[in-house]
Amino acid sequence: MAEKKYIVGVTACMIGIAHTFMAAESLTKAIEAAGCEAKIETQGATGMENVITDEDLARADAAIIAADVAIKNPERFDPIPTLSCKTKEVMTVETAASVVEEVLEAIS
Amino acid sequence: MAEIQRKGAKRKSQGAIIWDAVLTGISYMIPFIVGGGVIEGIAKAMGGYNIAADMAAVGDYTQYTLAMVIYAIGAAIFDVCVPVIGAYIAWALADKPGLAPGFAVGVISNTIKAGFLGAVLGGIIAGYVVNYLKELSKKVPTDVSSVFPILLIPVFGTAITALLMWYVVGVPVSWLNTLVVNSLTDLQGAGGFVFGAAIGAGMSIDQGGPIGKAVALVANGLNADGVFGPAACKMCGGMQNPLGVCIAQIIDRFTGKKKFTDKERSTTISGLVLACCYIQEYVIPFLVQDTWRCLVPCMIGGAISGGLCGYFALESVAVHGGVFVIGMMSNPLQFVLFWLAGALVTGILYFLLRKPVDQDAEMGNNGVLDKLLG
Repeated sequence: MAEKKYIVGVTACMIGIAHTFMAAESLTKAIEAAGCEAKIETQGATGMENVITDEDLARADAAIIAADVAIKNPERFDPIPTLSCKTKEVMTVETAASVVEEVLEAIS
Repeated sequence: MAEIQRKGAKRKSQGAIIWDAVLTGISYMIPFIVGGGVIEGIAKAMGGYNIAADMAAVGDYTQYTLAMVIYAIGAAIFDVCVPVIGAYIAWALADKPGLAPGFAVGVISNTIKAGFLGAVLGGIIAGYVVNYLKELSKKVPTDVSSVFPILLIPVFGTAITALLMWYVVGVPVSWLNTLVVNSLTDLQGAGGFVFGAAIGAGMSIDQGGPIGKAVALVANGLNADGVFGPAACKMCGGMQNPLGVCIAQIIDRFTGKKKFTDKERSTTISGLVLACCYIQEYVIPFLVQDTWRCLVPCMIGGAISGGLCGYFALESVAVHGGVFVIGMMSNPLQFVLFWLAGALVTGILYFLLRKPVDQDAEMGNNGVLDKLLG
């Protein structure tokens, strides 16, 4: 089996107190359930938390941006395969899993 | 960006890009509305509801009382709401260079009384103008292209957008905005009930989803323009949903009907806390589980709460904050009564309509609830 894949992501919703964090949590669970390593940055009302660093980006295999609003520093993800969607699409672990599957298919 | 093309997905349309940008603008504006609105509310609680008129009578700002100073601070923050939304819509569309033209057009929108709506349109125009200038900068020799972000975009981007706003777009918007603001300012009675009921029901459809956001956008926008009624209808109509669902669970507990699972009923207390904090997302798992039986009671309750607020022309300077801002309403007691009235209707109807569920059934997956349940 190949090395464990590393998937990073950003979530951001309009108000930034509930959906942002719900999406981050289900996305993390879904990515881990798919046997990958996950790190999800949240851009909520408190600003950027759990920030995706350059080191993360250097070894990341793919990124998922689940945002209803324009996110900060999107250009970071330019070099890696990135899937953009709405927070709604990753709100539950089930729907997030299908998004993760799409990403894994695209990079395999 | 190494974009992963999604299966069966269309390219993002211009409409979707603009809608995202508008939501971004709102998202950055909300702290200003909340900050300014609540500070104004505190001032009104300290110095009387007619503090603005009293301040005009005093005139000289060095003679202000503490309440007046607080009100002046709130009003100053409030005045920035409209420019901020213009600025961040333009930022979402055109990144950093969009900020200055967007902010400028928002200020102009205030000046020509085009208000929130003007700033939204102006911000979109600013975004497109700046994007056009950015494209242009790629076509000129690289030696001169650095002039664009440092000189040409701030000057011409701002001038073009602001002039367009002042002479072209702003004219009908200003007329429309004045008409809407005037007709809603003193709205009460039957007309107020219909308007408030529409807002309250609209807030109770998808519990924090896109429809609720669109309705909230209208109410928040009017709030930024100094019409405070719709915000009260919105908050009352929205807050009754989680409370209503909790009431249904409490009735369930006392009648022993077991229409809710034990796991669901264990969330009642958290639900009450969330209801007080105006976090409607609590309702989502119930809505997902049995959409129609949850949706209809919520909308009826929302219409009642919102409608009553509209009928009595209740005003709220704050657009968010739940129970913590009730004290700053024009009539806090009425707000609580209307909130409970809507929630009771929602709760009773939801309880009656609900089908008993399998005790072992998993409830809809919800990050917020999972967290609360540990």
